Amino acid sequence: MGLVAFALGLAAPAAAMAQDTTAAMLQRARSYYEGLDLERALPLLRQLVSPQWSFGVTTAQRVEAYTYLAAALVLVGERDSAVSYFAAALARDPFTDLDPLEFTPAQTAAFAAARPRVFAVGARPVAATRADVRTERVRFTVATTHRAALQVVLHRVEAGAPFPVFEGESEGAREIVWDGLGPDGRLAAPGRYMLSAVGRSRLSARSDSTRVFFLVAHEATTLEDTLPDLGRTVLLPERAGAAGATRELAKGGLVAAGALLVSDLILSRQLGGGERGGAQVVAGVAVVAGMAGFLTLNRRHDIPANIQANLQREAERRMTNQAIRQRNADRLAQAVLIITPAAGVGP
Amino acid sequence: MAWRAVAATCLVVPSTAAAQIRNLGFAGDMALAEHRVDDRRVGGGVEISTGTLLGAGVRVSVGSRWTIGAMGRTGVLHPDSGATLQRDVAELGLDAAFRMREWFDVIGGVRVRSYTTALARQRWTAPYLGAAGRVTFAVRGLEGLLDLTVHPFASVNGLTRPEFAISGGAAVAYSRGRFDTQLRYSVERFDFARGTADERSEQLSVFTIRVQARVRGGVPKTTTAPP
Repeated sequence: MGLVAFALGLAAPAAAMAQDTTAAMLQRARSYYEGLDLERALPLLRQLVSPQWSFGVTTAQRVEAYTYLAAALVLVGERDSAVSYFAAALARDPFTDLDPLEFTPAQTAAFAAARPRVFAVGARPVAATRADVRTERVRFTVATTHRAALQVVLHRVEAGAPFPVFEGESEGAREIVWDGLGPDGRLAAPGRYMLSAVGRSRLSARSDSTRVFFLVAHEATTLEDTLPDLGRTVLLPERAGAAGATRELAKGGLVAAGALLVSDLILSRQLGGGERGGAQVVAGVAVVAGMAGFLTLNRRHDIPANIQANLQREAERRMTNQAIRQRNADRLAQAVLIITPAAGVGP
Repeated sequence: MAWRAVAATCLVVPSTAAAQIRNLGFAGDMALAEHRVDDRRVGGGVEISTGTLLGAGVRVSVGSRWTIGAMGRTGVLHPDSGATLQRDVAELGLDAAFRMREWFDVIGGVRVRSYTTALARQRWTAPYLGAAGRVTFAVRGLEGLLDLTVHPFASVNGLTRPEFAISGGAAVAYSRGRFDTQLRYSVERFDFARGTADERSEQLSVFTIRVQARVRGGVPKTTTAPP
């Protein structure tokens, strides 16, 4: 374990140093080239593209080395070799091109001559982007070294059939525009996608293809909940009896009890009691009076203020829910795709 | 000079009092009465007489708190149990009520009553003082009344002053338009010379139906009927 860590510790700086060495060598060669010190530039560039170059070289560095080597060779009059090196650069990166402001017409002419000699199809890695497909498009860039029949298809890796996003003649770099929809016209499902570009040269029988992967995700939309139905606990009672109805019964009971108490407490037992019928009549009438009061107050009746308040609450709830539904619909209709580059094949 | 002052008073005071009268009503009532008496001197046990009394009176509300009434009743109590003589009853009463609270009155007055038999006449003079409570129901014009009074200075000819003299009543009254009706039950109890050989107990229970017509004013705020 310790040895592995030690080896990794040694290997990582070595790789970085190799890259630095290649980059430094390339930088030096460019300096010589720009100073038209071609005698010094050419050996360095040849050394870089040589199989004997022991340090690591990235594709971009190799393409740059080929390009400057070819450009230098044009300047020293070795046009055929130059065309070959330009072709080698194009073969590795079909997006390679010469800036007319930086290179001479002879160099660009040699570069143009190299284009028919090689055929390659390239695609730039998909850039991370966020696109509302109602108003925006997802853009890919592909290139062919020369005129070709090009077909670009998208394929959701997990499932689904490939569907073309471009089919036609193409030459050089081309921007492919995708509307974010699948073959069924729906918003592209989330998942891993593969962009595949297949080209068939119009100048030769050669064909080439390339592919890049990217991830599609839908921007998470948080929807608002609509307000629930107004339950009985929220709504005010619309019909009720007046408060204090039961108190009327108590009043009747009080008077009735008073009548019976008067007859019970004041009448003399020594005299054998006395006439109580009148007390009972008054007590009964008092009870009836209490019930009449109770019924009077307890009569169910509408409460206009509460009815109005409930109607207003219902209306407010409806308006609020309508606004929430509208906002939710707007959010759902936004259909924002999140595109991120991916590597490799498979989920 | 003096007669001029008296004349002015006679002219001014009634007119001022008249201006203060808020309600004026005339009442008539019918009472079913039961009278019980037990006199140990006689030793005949409890004498019970029953009968119907008819009465009439006038009642005025003065200012916002005072109610004053005068009432007369008469009737015959027939011997029922243990009694042998018919009693003619005549009564005059002067009653006043002062409204302390919406539900509470202080009441007072004096009652003069006579019981006349074939053998004798007994006259009662019973000033009283008490309190009356009023319970107003939700039905407009309907109210319940409870009252309790004492008669500390009651006097009866031929008897010592009563040692225990109390009366109480309960009523339900209903007012509509210019008419008031009232059902009332009341009891008066007088005990004389308690614990002696001359002990005498007397009680009068009355169930009254009263109708009053107001000739002036609306539904009175105080309808408490003094006993």
